[in-house]
Amino acid sequence: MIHPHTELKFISSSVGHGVFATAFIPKGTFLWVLDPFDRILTADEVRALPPMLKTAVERWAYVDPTGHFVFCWDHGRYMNHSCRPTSRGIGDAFEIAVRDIQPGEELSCEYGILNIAKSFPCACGQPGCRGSVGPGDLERLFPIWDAEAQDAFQHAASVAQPLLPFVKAGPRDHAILEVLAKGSTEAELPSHRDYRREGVTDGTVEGEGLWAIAAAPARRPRATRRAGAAAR
Amino acid sequence: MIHPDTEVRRVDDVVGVGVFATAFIPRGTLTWALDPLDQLLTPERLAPLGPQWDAWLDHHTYHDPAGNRVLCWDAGRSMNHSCRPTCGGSDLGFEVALVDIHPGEQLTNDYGTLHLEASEGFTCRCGAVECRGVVAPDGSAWQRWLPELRDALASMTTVPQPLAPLVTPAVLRAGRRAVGLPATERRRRLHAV
Repeated sequence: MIHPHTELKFISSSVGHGVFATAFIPKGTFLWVLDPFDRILTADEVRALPPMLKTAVERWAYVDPTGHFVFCWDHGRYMNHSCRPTSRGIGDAFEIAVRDIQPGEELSCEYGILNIAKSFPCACGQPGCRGSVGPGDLERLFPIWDAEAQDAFQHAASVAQPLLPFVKAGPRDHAILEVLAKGSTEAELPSHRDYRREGVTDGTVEGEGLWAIAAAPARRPRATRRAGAAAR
Repeated sequence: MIHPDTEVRRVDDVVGVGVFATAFIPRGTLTWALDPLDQLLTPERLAPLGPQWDAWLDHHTYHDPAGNRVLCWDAGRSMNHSCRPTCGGSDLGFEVALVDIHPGEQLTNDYGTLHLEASEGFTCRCGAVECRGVVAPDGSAWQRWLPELRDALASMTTVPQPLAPLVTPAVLRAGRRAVGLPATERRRRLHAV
């Protein structure tokens, strides 16, 4: 579920839609949580869909470390990539704001943690834009992403969290929820490195979509953690 | 899935958003079809949810005749009520345009046909000449639109049907029977575009 103070807006025919803040959202706020109505589909289930629906899933779902397609029920699925995203993934089910977000600002996440099937050119225009986002970025950049997430989490207990009642917590999220329930942020978060689905590198997948269906069955992931971000 | 020639637009602060035609959609066109990405929420699945979900369920889902709620994955869930709806038939597993829908016109349902619970009634401001003023649980709503629905289904084979791949022949036959038409259409099949 995407934060209630957001809306879907059309950007351009090349980018499509994006998610924009309708009010100020402070650093440390959960911008998105996995909830019970986000659809989790196996690769076989995606293959069996009528072509027009398969196209929708390949465009708007992301792939978690177990090889499942996560298709958000709401406009969370339209969040675009940025090389300087407004949020980082935490645990199985959270995206946390890593800085204050002003009304009208676009919400963005890091597609490098979402088990993309192949590299895509990036034109996010942010300082530090990598120019291209690829499956190998995670192994190189995870320490920076981890540090940003850990820093943002220090604010998580002191800001409004309207999405907390709706989260579908995964195995690693229970510890995060327990800490927050005590009003504390004393937790060492799992590493972004654990988002990676083993066995998937450029060229091992079929189809044209960014999250194209893996040709080989998913191998056991390095960890149980799911990518905690919605995808365009 | 909602007809591809539609978009979600803001109506106002009271109504919120609605679904509008971006191209001409002739009467008899499939405007929506229940598809495998729509979620059927059985009472068993909803039982473990806390009260924080109540408002969400009322806002985003509708009731099917079997007592389940249905969560559409796309703009289908944003269709507004009208006492003079442009679309109808949701219990059939698909909806058709009851009238010609022009670009900029809204795709609407009569919520009276959607098995409202007593708590879900509301004051209507649809502005139609036939406006009932209050929309409430209404056992006769289906009958009210049956003639229009029958005419629309009878003309289904004469218009382009982009959603045809999502409606199986069995569902279509059952729908035709439900409105009192012969189950099969001899002349032509639905043509996808």
